Amino acid sequence: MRASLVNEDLGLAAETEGDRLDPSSFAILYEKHRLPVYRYLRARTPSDADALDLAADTFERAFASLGRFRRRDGGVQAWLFRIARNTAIDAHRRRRPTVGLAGAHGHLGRVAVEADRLEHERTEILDLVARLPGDQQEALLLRYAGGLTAREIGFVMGKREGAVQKQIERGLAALREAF
Amino acid sequence: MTRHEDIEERLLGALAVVPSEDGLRWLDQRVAGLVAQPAATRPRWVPGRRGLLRPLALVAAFAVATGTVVGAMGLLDRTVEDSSLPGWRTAWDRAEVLDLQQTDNGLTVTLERAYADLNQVLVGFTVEGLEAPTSTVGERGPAIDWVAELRDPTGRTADQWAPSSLSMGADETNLSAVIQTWQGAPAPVAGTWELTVTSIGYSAMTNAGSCGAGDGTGDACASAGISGPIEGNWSFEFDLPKPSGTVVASEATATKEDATITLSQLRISPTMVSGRIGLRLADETVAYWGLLDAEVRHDGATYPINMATHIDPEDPHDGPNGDENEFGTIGGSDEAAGEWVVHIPQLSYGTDDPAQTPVELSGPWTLTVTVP
Repeated sequence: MRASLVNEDLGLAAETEGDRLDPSSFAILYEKHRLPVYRYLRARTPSDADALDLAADTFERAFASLGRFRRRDGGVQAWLFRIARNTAIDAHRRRRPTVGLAGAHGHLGRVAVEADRLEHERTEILDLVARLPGDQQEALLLRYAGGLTAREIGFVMGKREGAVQKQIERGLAALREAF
Repeated sequence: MTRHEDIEERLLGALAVVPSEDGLRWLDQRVAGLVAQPAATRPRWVPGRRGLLRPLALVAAFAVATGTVVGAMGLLDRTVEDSSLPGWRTAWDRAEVLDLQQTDNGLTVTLERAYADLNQVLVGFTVEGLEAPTSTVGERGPAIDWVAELRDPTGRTADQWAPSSLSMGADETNLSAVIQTWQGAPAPVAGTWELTVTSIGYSAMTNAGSCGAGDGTGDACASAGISGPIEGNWSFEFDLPKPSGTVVASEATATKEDATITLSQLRISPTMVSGRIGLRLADETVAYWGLLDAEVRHDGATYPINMATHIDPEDPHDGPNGDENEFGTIGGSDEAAGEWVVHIPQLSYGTDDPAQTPVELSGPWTLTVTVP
């Protein structure tokens, strides 16, 4: 069975009606996107608590920015994940050590803390993803954790759809080679 | 199932995590609180749950509290001066004057100048239209926060070639200025660069200490008018000449107290001297290390080393030169020819043993490279 990459449609056409969003549609937006946003942020943070913090911050920023959403921003999902990505970048930048001992940027390495085989396999593939170049990593997380299409990822990352597709293919190729 | 599908399945499975039940309940309640509050009292920004005192690791922000309006270029000039980094001054004076403007979501970002050499890239931009906080909160006042991505002429993003970055912001009435730099080895070609800013504003998380919102309510920030970052798309394309500078391979080594330091590369540019340097110990594996009071000497001038970035922390630390860092100095030189001396009076190192505290070793270690 081919993996499903698209979130279930919860019949939320109302959230994208017209060109703007309003507070009354926010609860629907949250209900639909909270898990994908959490999953994307969990892949970028070292702990469940950090991911939940960032998810809360993401939705708070989104709520504060409702009046500024425009359809040309790539759709609701792209708009929301751009906020999530910026929130994660902000947090990562603040977490970096001082200039005197600055660590490399963009490493999302994780350590397998349990001997369980399934957990080991999970962290094994995530460690490999963390070693990919930044754009490939980002494209894969937005696709497989966030469920975004290549076009939506393009709006989030500021790239053309074709370029995003290439990054995804290269990332998957690198993972296939590693296994 | 093909291998392609197998990899996708594994990736989907690995990423398909769910938060703890308590965690999800907390998140739901937190977001429900946003929607439930009347508009008049709804906070525009609420700090995160886990505490607010996150160190401002790389952003040094100075509020220019003069009470007078400073022109955009004056504010950027002042920011460069306030950095006390000769390299920034050189970069700013030699930068391409661009004066490119983009407006989105009520904010106008003007990219004033950009500069690139073989050690770093610097951009200076201003922001107009940002709602300034209504009162000074804390000693320094709120710090502007932003998210910017840079792409070089070969298409690489900064995180692919810049292991470190340093930036500084300053604020005046209705005007904010940002100097952003990235340190590393940008592509040594002339061509078109892309800078994209996607978020600008005053983050309560960044300003948490000033807001005093340790109780998590954010009331102090809300009353000071700190509204949170504004998301948008301010994109710029600009041409820069080929980055200047000289790269020299080296095999210089120095050993003292069973510690051998190897300098494998030196990069000399007008704004910085940088190098790749490794530490190997005779009977221990170094996991990380730092240079203390180190400097580079050349032709009667001294260039203090003010930064060191760990290279590939995920990889094993047993390469031919041991554990490696890239160091950088506060300024650089136009003249590369001659003798360059890296002088390290002391260093500290750590191993993978979490119980061990960093160990300090006294040198000096002196490494000499001659550039023809």
